[in-house]
Amino acid sequence: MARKQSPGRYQVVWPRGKKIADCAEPARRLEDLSGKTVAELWDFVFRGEEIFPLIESEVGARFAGVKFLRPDRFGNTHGSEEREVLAELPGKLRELGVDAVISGMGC
Amino acid sequence: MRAAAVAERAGIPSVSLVCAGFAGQALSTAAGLGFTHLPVAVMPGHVNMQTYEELKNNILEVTVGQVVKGLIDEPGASPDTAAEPGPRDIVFTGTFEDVNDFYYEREWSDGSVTPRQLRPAQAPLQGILTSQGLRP
Repeated sequence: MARKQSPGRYQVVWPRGKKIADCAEPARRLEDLSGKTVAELWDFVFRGEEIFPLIESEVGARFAGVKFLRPDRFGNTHGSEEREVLAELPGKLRELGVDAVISGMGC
Repeated sequence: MRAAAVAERAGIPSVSLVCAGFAGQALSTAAGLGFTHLPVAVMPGHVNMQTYEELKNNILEVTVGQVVKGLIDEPGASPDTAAEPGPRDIVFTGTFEDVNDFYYEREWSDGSVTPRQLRPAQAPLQGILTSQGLRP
């Protein structure tokens, strides 16, 4: 949003509003992916069916025993069922012994 | 990013796959979800515009390393948002063209912006807030 200063010249105000909430810290990271279980979360668009297998292949080659849980175990994270899928997600992740999450596709 | 935020709140580290053009938006979205840091792994270009070989090369050469890094490396210190300008601070002054360049270079816009004066732009917003019982 611009504030007009004089004909032909404009002043731009900072676009962010007042900060009203404290930010949370991310979860503690892993020391290693070897032997870990990684959940793949997907919105079922933008070529995830090709991208996740590529990541599995390369990460699997670097870290022994890493296991991947495919997106269909969790449902579509960005669709008409998003609310339900995300509400159930913490329980599913715990139940399946998930150590880390790869989520896509933001495109 | 919403799914990643749910995982992080459950104590499980995440990394989000984003096309390069959305990396900045991902940071803003993370802040809106209550995190200053949610790791992303960038996919160069846009995946829908690439052949399989191009996609494969980009994922293996660029993205996978960021996936691993995002799950293993502790995020750095949170950015000091207190150091940001205030909501009404003037951060730039210039001509119509200058303003457009300023917006475009920061990815605040993907095209032409027609500057409006602050007061007329605020009036409708204040009306909405008042009608919803919220203080403008």
